[in-house]
Amino acid sequence: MKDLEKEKKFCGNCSSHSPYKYPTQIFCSTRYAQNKNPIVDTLRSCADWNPVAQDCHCVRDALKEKNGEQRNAKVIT
Amino acid sequence: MKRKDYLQNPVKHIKIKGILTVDQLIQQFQGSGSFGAGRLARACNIYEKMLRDKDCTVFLSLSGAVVPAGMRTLVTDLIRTHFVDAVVTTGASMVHDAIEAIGGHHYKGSWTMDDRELYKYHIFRIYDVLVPEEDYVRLDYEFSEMYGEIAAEKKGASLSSNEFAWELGKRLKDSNSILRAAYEENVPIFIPAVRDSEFGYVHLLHASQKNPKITLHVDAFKDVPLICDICRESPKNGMMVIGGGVPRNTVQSAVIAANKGMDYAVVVTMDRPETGGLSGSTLRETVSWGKVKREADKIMVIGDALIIFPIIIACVTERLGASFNRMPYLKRKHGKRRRSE
Repeated sequence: MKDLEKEKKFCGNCSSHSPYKYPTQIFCSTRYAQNKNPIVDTLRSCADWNPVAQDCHCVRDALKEKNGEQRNAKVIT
Repeated sequence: MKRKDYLQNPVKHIKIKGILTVDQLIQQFQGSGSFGAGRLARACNIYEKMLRDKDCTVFLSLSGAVVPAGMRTLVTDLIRTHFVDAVVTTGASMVHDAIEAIGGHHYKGSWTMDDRELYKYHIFRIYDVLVPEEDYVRLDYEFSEMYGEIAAEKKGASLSSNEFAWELGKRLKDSNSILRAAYEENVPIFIPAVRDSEFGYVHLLHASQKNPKITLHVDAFKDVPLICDICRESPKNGMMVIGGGVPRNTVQSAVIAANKGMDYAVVVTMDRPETGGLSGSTLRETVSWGKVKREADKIMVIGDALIIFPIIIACVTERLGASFNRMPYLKRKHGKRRRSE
């Protein structure tokens, strides 16, 4: 259960996320303000994760893309 | 006036026979002289006169979403061919220009699209034009870095919006960019409401950085003497207005602050005068302020600027011919001096 919660705390459903390369990468203004690389994966999660305030398809589409890549990799192997 | 004086000019009916050039069609409109056709024909005549008048400085006042809708290159070409001498614009128009300059795009859409779905996909809608949010985000990121670079170069000194626009143009590589063209051609480009656009939020991001060495300062008040000087120095002034709002008011206020009025004025708008807002105010109303001379050549064309304005440009370009080479009054007077001199 805990793992599931952790998994859902994706950067892509953080309240302040903005897409950088839809749907796989987002721009994190918090990291930018800290002089860190602001471009992070949509499916990354961090300690500063905020509850969902934005109802969007980022995580759904990023997961689809990731699963699609995994399927393709299996087909190739 | 006597009764017969009212009945001097019969309407000539529009005749479309065979292939017509844009100018030929406008001549037919002029023959009609009625409604929007008559106004459009008059707008073409006035703009042609502005450009042929060697003493006239031509201002382009730009507002509304015509840049994302497809008029970006047209404006750039007007700057490069010296068909406009100074631009006063909303910040948003230059943001849309910059978005394309750094590789972003605007897309054809429909005003009937599902906005809730667009929201979920991070796509913004401007009537039937679409912009992906990521193009804005890339702009925020790249321009925030650019702001830092400009601030460091200027050592914290404040810039007028014109200097700010040129600094951005200097750093953009796209030759189709309005900002780039204005920088290269030394054409002043004023953004009086600069913070009322993504440029303001880029500043928020830029200033949010931990221990920023120096932050960028833009002071739009610095534009006032610059634009007033242009009006004062020019023997005549003309304005081509798309929309209205802050840019139109800025041009009109500058000419009156220079103790002059506009000698030529063409306004393309769909706004109405009854609300008292500037965008719909008639040029007769503008005469009451002294911003446009009573005897000025002036016309207001009520219509979609995305249709009207390119027709005016196409018609006047055709009339002037390929050999027409305009040297603006202020460039003749001062030479093509660089901004840093």
